[in-house]
Amino acid sequence: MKILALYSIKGGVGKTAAAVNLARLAAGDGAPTLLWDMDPQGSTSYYCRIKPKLKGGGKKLIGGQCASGDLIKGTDHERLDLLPADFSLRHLDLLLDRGKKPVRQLRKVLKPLAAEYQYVFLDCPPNISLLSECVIEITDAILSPIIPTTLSLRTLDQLTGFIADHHQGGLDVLPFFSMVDRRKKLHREILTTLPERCPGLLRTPIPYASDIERMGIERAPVCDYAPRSRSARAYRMLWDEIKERI
Amino acid sequence: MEFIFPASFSIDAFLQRLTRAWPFQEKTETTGRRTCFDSFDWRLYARGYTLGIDSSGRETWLILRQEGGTETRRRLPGPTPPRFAWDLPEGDLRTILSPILELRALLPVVEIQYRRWHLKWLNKDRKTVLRLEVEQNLAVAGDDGPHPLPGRVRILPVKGYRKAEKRIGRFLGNEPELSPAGEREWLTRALAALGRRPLDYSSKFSLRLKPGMRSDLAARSILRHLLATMKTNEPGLRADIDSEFLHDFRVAVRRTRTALSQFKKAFPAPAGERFGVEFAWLGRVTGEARDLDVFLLNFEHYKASLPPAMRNDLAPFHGFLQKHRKQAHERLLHALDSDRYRNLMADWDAFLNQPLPDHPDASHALLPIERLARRRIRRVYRGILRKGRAITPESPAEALHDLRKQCKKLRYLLEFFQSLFPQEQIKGLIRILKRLQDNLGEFQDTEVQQRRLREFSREMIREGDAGADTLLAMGVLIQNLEHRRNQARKAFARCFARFDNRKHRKRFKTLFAKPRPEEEENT
Ligand SMILES: Nc1ncnc2c1ncn2[C@@H]1O[C@H](COP(=O)(O)OP(=O)(O)O)[C@@H](O)[C@H]1O
Ligand SMILES: [Mg+2]
Repeated sequence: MKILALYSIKGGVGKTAAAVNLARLAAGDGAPTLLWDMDPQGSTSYYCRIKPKLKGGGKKLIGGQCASGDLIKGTDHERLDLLPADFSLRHLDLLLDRGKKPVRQLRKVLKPLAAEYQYVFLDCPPNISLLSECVIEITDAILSPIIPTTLSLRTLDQLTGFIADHHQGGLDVLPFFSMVDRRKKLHREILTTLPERCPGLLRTPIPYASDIERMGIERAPVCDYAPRSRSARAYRMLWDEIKERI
Repeated sequence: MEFIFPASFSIDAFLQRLTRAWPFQEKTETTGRRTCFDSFDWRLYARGYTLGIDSSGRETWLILRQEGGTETRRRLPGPTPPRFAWDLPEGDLRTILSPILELRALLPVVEIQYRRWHLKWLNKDRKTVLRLEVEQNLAVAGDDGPHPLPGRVRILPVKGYRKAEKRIGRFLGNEPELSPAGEREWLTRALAALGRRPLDYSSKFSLRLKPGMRSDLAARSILRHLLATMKTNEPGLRADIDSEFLHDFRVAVRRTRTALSQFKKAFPAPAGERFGVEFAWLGRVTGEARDLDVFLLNFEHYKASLPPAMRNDLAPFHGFLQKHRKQAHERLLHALDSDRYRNLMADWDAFLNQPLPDHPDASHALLPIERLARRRIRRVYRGILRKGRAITPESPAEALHDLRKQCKKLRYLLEFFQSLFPQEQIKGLIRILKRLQDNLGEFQDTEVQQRRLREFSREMIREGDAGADTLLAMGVLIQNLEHRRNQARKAFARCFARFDNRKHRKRFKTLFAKPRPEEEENT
């Protein structure tokens, strides 16, 4: 089982869009895949047409009183399942009590799933918190969307610094460009210059596209309703690249 | 949950019933081809697996299903099936299949054309809560055109929506023509419809004998069984599908020779002698190809035994082996096409099928087979103890080779007659014997391989295939083999002592003792 976390310090950069599309592609390749919606806003759950609600709330899941397997719901796609969000997850930081070895608590949730799933995608809420510290410790790779602006470059630096502080290596940090608008000069510039500075960067950019925005209306991954679109192709290429890197 | 329905089932009416009763809102239809694969000896089926290649449109999937359980699938770049486990892309499928298939090739077992209806039950958010597949099957090739096969219904439950699954399950369970059964059962029925049976071949010898049978009759059924094994393996051997066809063929020849000599007195003498000579010839002409197979199968192992810097020097040797393997196979085909082979097979078949005389001349012909079995096993076993005990650290290699031959005889006898004795006990004795055989085999095989390596290197020089580096590497192989041979020789005394211990001797003795007179009357 490979755990891949969609993570960024910033919100609104395309984490959820990427999590849903990449997980869908993984399942389409034949791999049993789980999406874990860790964001209390529940956008991933919404895209999967599943109520952002956990029986007993997040507390039972994290506390171990409720097996993760019982809370998982199948999506509209074969081999793709979802561990839904729950509003109570906004307190996930508090649930993950520091005193109780939070990393071990998260591992305990995932452990029984190892035999069943080949990939687990974690869709993380933005910000730096105890949860993100834990996620960084348990995942095999961090996929981090970068909007090519000067500000988000700073965010990337912060991310690498944060990871360096909380992980002793062996973790793949794979940033990728998100919401790229080639009409903008700045975007084009950063697209050509950043790869030199950041060797881990994935080569496939995800374009800024209305097809992706439409996910909210279609409540489905792009490749299902616009399979031949530029966006669908971009996610496909990105996923192929990720598979080679992990 | 899965169900099977007969080929005559009316799918249209069923789909109507289904969609009238349940809120299936999406229905799509696909057509495609599926080929089920297994090894010649049904290794997957025997372990509860089914493996299929499913092509529909431009998509080709390799799908492994385990009875009542998980499915593992992998997209294939094209419709060409993988032939061996090592041809599979790295990953789960290869990890599962390699230890099961070992050296055996995958062969198509049944090829079907399917039409599949995909139904989706959506809830009020238009979220899928259950998927259902109905599949109609037609066997592709057949002498009399496509052949209708049983169809299937599969519930593909969506996690977390148990209610829908239960309700549909109950509905389908009440359909009189549907019977709950998985893919393996479906395959069994599909094969039955095509006049085939799974597990119709195994390389293990298994034949039921009756203890009171006349010996000539029993011996004949053993030999007929072995002849059938040769015939079953011949096409695969000719087509060179995998190395095990030749291997099994040769084992059947060796067993035949052992049977001929062990049951000598159950047959008219001249016949036995003639066939003995002919099967010895057949053993010889099939030996060269097998020898080279063994080198090729062990090649990676040989390579790994070299210091890393020398490993690539062995590449020309691999090329040489392949070239000669090909030539040897051609010579083998030549032998199989010869009059001598054809006559042997025809005469042997005729001999084994001629009516048995009421008053045979052969002295053991009318003996109940159980008595002959015990007698032969006792005799060979005693010979092994005698010969083995006489071996000292100074004894020549030939003494061990001879002992190996006797062990092989005993092994075959135990296998021929296993149905006459308690199965668990025979199995236990075979296990004990096998450990000794492994030691003697290692000792002789490493010697033979050294000799062959020397011959190969001379041939390679003659054919201009070998540079100094390759010859040096082969020299190291010889040295490694010599080391293994010495180890085996040293281990012999310990291995033999383990075989010749009191507990095992007693087991042999009680199992194969001469029947007491009153017992004999009953048989
Ligand atoms: N490549 C894109 N092009 C256009 N809109 C996008 C793209 N990626 C995401 N969006 C939109 O931007 C918003 C935020 O995206 P989301 O994936 O939820 O970000 P995050 O999870 O990082 O907060 C959503 O409304 C989404 O539809
Ligand atoms: Mg999000």
